[in-house]
Amino acid sequence: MPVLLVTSDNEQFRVEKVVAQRSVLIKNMLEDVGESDQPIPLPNVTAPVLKKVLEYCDHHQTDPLPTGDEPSADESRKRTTDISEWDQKFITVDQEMLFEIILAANYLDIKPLLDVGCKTVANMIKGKSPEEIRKLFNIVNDFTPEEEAQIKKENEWAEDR
Amino acid sequence: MRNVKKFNKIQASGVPIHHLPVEIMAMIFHLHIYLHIGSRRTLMLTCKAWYNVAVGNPLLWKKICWSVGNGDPFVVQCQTLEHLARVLDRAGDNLELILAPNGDESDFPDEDIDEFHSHVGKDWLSQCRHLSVSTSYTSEASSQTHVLHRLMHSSSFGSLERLSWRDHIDGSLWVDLSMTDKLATMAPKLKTLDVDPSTLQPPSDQLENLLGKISTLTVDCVNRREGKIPQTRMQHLKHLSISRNLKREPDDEDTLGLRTLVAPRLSSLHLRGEFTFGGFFTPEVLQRITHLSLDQFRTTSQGLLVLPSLKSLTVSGNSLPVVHSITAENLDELRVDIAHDFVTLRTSRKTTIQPRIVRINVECEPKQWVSLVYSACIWSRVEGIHLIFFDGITGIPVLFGHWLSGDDKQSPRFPLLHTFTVRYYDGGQTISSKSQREQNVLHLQSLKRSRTRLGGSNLGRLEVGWHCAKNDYRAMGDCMPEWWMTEWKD
Repeated sequence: MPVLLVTSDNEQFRVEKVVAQRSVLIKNMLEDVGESDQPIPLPNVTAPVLKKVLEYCDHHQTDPLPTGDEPSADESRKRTTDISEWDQKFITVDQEMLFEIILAANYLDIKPLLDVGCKTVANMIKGKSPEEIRKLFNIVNDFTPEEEAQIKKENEWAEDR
Repeated sequence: MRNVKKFNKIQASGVPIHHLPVEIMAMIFHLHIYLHIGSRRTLMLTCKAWYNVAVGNPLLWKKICWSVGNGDPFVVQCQTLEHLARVLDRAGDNLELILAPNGDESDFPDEDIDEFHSHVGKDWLSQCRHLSVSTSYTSEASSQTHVLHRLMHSSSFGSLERLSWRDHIDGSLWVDLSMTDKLATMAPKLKTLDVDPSTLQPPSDQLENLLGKISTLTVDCVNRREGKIPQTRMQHLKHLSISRNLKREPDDEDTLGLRTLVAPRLSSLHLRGEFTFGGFFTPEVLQRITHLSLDQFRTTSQGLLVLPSLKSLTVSGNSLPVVHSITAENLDELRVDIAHDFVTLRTSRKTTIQPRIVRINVECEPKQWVSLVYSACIWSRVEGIHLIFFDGITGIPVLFGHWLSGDDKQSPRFPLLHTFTVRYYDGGQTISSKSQREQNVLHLQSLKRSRTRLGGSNLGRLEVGWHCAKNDYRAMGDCMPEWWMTEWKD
């Protein structure tokens, strides 16, 4: 049975229920309203982003759903480097879209997609200096020289790999 | 964290990454530190928003070491009490703390300790979950013990679950009996004790009370003078782990007092080193053992060892010959850790046990791959293989790759294999580039595709990861096995 999703910019997406239910948020909403053809509003997601998210959900529609019951599950998952080629290609987007996908995955509660997004950002940071990170993400260094010196001094014992 | 409804943005700005909420940035930072072994300082120095996320996220600071570095990149290394106090502020609850003073009492004057207590409070260990305490081998050990007592004696241990105490002064933990009493009576969650034998001397009522409540006891006798485990009733003890020197002369003396052990619930044994196996444990103890792990194990015992309840056997190092001495009719699982002596596997053809072989760990040494040929009986029944690479080895050996994937001339081997996991080395001089990692992944995927095409068993779980543990560190026991051994689930 198809489900009708409505984005913040009022675009409608008709998708199979099994695909939409990759989102725990939508799954819970569907369970709450029961059998209904009422459209589901998604006020925090724009059409281009939802289109991308649904592409992910469609590809992974047969994956087992994460239970989230085990206390160590999160940590184990975060520490694993996935080998999915498809996910890597899927997440190869510009920064703005990457962060929008992460936000949407968080809002829609799609844990595996959130992990893929976070791992991608962590990969971008890996091995870079603060200056290189600022340049990569267009971040302004808002420390005064004194503040920067103070942080360096206070944390000089912290590892610097 | 995942169900954050409101988007509490770090700051409203035109910088896309600043639109991510604090909770998500914290997840990314966690990955940066614990997956990529990245620097906390780099994060803190990027901008104010990132600084605030980093210092406000206790998960980034909960593993702390003061003051001798332990080489673990996941642990925050604090050189001074001032640093320790600062990190404790950031760490919140559920601490995992290593206390190892560097220096003697003169390096830690009363005013420094008073200042530390004034900053963190006298009850500063009340939220500590795992506490590891050690002194150095030097003549300063006694002095260091006094420093530790001054630091710790005023605190309670309400959250403590695991205590590791490695000292080099006989009975130093128990010199202050109030401390022992406190651990016995005011650490309700304490279940795991990891000590060296000197710490178990001299016997006292407080020590007996403490041993009476724990479920896991680890006694490390390597390079230490052995002493008897107190003859107290350890009514809750389920798991006992003992490490002895590896190159001892045959010695039947029960220096640890294992024959007189009173532990009616003991069901799991981990033994490392030289043992006179049959003589050390009574038949009453042995008949209840369901899990046995042998690491670099040697025994002078003759004849069969009967373990009627044994379900799971793990064999590491050069311990495999002892398998011939074990009769275990109910054995379900065998795990073999192959390090440097594949040849011993040949003898396993004679073994009478036929359990499932759920996992074989292989530490890759290319020159020894040829020896694998002789161990076909093991490989034909293995269900999981875990390959671990150390320095200088970047890919799966050709021979093993052919076995896994098969080729035009031969079918894939390992007919029962369904799990294949690999840990590549990524540290020191051989840090992997992204393209090299991608090549590793693509190679594994091509092996799997070929295996499937040629009719091999389906690899339901194929996993790759990278670790930074050097082989020599590993040999010295200076780093955590989880770096390269962990069965990550995904």
